[in-house]
Amino acid sequence: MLANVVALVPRIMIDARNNGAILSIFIGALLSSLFFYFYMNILLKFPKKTHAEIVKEYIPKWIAVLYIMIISLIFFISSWLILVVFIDITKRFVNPDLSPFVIGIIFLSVICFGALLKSEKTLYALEIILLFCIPFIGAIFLKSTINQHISWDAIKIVFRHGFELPKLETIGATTYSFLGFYYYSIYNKVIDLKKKKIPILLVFIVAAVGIVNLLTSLLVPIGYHGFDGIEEYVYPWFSTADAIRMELGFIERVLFIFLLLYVGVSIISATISSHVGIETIRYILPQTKWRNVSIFPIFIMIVFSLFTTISYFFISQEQVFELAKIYFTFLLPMGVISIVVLVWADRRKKHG
Amino acid sequence: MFGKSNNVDQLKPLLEKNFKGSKDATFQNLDNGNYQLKMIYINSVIDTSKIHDMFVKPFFEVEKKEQYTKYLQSLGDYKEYKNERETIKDILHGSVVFLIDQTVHLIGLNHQENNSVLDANVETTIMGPQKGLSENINVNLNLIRHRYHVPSLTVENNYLVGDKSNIEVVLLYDSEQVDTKVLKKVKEQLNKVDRSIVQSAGELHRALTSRKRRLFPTLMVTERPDRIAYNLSLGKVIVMMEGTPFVLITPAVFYDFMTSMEDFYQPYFVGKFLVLLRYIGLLISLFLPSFYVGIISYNPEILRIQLAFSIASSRIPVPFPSYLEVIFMLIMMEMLVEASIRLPKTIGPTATTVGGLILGQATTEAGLVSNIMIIIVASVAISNFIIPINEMSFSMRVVKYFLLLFTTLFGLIGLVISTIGLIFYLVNLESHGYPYLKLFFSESKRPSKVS
Repeated sequence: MLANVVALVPRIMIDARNNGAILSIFIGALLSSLFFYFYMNILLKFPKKTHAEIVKEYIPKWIAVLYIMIISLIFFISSWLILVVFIDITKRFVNPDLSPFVIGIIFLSVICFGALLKSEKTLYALEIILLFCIPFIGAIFLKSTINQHISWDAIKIVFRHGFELPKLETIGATTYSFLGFYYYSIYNKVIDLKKKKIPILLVFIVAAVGIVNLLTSLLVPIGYHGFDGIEEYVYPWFSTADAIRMELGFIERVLFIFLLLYVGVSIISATISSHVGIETIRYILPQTKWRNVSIFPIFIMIVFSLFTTISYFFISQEQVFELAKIYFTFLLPMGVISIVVLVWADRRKKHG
Repeated sequence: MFGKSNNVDQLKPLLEKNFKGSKDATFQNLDNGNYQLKMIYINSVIDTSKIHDMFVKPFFEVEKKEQYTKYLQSLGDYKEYKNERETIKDILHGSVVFLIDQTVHLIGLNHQENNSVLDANVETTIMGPQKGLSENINVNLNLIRHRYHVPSLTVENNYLVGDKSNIEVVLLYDSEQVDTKVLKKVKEQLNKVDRSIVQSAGELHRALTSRKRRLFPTLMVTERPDRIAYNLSLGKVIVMMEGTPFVLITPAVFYDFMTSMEDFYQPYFVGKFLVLLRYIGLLISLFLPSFYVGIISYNPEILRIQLAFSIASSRIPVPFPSYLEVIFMLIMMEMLVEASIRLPKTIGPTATTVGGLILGQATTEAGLVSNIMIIIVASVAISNFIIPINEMSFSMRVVKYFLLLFTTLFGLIGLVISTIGLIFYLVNLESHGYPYLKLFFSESKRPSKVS
C-alpha cells in the first residue's frame, strides 16, 4: 500500500540500487499480479466469507489454528512496522520535543478505536482519508519528478545496474507494496463484487500503478541526492520532499504537507492492518463477551499497543530494517502458502 | 353503532372528578322539552364559536332523540366511545363529549390558535419557497400534501409522546418508496420514548436515538416543506410533532446536513460550487484555529518565511502562548453568537457592534491578541455559519475545541490524529441503520442519495 512506499521499501530498494533493483520491481509486480489473480479468484468462490472462516471450515483443525495465527501475526507485524517507522519519523521531523512514548500512545489510541470498528466502517474511513490524501500526494510526486534539478544521470546508473540478479529481500520488498489485496481476505465478507472472476484488466492496472509507484519511489530520491549521496539518509523520501520548495504556496516546504499526509495515510493503513489481524484471529479465540462487547479483540489491541510503544525503545532503526527484510522475504512463500491453502479448501469443499 | 350504554354511569363521575375543578371545563345541560343531553368539553382547546351552530341550534330544531344522535354520528369528526381513559385523553386533545341518556358520543372539535404559516427563517433560500411550516400539525399536513400529490403518501397518527405532555406525533412517509426497516425502527423507538415532557423536535430527536450522548445530529430537523417533500420522494420517514414548526427526517446522513434546498434551485454548476464552498467553510472553521496553534507553538518553520515573520511581528505585543490567545478569542466569539441569539431583536445589533468592532479593535490595540488572530476568529465564525443546517453547524462549533485541545497538547501531529479520530467517530455513527459518513463503497443496496 501507499504508506510503505515512502518508509521501508525505498530504503531497501535503494540499498539494492546497484544490484538489480529495476528487475526486482518487475519480478515483484509479476509475482504479485499472479498472486493477486489466483488469490482473488479463489476467494470469490466463497462469497460473503472471510479467509479465516473458510480455513476454519474446510481445513483440519490444528493446521487451521496454526495457519490463522501466522496470518494474523503477519498483519500485525505489518501494522507494527508501519507504526515503529512513523513514530520515529514523527519524532525526527515534526515534533522532536515530544516523547516517542506519547506519540506512540496517541497513534495507538486512534488505531485501537479504528481497528475495533466494524469491517465496512473501516472501509468508509479508508475511502475518505485516501480520497483526501491521494490528490495531494500525487501532486507532490508529480512536482518532484518535473523538478529541473533532478539528476537524470544518477537515474541512468540505476538502470545500468538494474537488470542484474536481484536479492530475494528486494523482491520481497516490492511485493510488500502490493500487499493490499490480502486485506480482501476479511473484506470479502462485506464487499460484494458481483463477479465470479477478477477481470484481467484490473490485474494489469494494479500492476501498472504499482510499477509506476515503485519506480517513482526508487528513482526520485536517487535523482535528487545522487547515486552515492542517497546512502546518507535514513528516510530518503522525506529528505527528498524537504528538497522541494513551493515558491508560490503559502506553505513553502513540501516536507510538512508530505509528512502530515503520510502520517494520516500510515495511521489508516496501520488501522486496516490491525483490523484485518483482529478479524482473522478472532475465529480461533473464545467468543467471551462482557456486556455484549467481545473482550478478546480489545485485549489483543491493548497488548499490541503496549508491545508497539515499548518495543520502540528496545529496537534500533537498524534492527527494524533488518527485521523488515526478513519479513518481506517471508511474505513471498506466505503468498504461495495461502493460495495453496485456499485451493486445498476449495477442493475439500467440492468433494464434500 | 351506538355508544355503549352501561358506561355512562362510570364515566360521568369520573369526568366530574377530573374536570370539575378547572375553570375552562364546561359541563353544559341542554333540554328542549323532548329530551335532555349533557355536553362536556374544555373550552380552551376547542373551537367554541362552532358549538352553538353545530350542536345547540340543531338540538332545538330536531325533535327526536334518535334523529339527533344520527346527526351527531354523521359529523366528520365523530369518534366512537372506547373507554374512560381514551375519553379523558380525547377531551384534553379537544373533543366534545355528549351524554345522551345512556350513550356516549365524542366529536373532535380541536382548535389551535397557532396555525399561521411562518416564514422559513432558519433555513432561508433566495429563490426557493419562502414559507416554512406552522405550529399546527394539520396545517403542516395540508402544506405537505399540497407539495406531494401521491396516493401512497401515508399518515400515521397513533403516537402520543411524553407522559405529561401527551404530544401528538405523526409519521409521514411514501409507502412505495419507504425503507421498511427504517420505518419499523422509528416506530419501535417512538413506542419506547419515556420522557415526561417532549416539546421540541430536538428533544424528540434525543428521545429517538439509541445513543443518549451524541455530538452530531443523526436525524435532520427542518422547517421547509419543500425539503420534506423532496425527502419523502427519496423514501425517508418524516416525524411531525404537534406544536412545533420543525419536523424530523430520518435517516439523515452527513451530506444531508451540508446541502441547502437552494442547491437545487440554482444552475447545476452554481449548485456544485455552493456545496464546495460549504465544505471549504467546514474545513476552515474546524481546522484554522488548531492549525494556527500548531504552527505558532510547534512548527513555525512550515510557513514561508515572509508569512512566518509577519505573524510573529503581529504577535510581538501578545504576552500569552498561542493557545490561550486562540481560546480567549474563540470563547469571546461564542459568547457573541450566543448573546445575539438570546437578545431581543432590537438590542441584537448593539451586541454585535460592541463585541465585534469595539472589542476586536481594543483587544489588538491592548496587545492581548494579534491582528491575525482576529482575522482567524472572524473567518472561523463566518465559515461556521455557512453550514446550512443549524444543528450541524452547532456540532461543528463544539468539535473545533476537541481538535484544538489535541493540537495544543501534541502539535500538528495531534491535529492529524484527532482528525482521523473524528473521521472514525463519524463513520461509526448510524442513522437508523444507515451509515452516517461514507463515500462510494456500498454493501448491497445503495441508500438514498443526498437530500
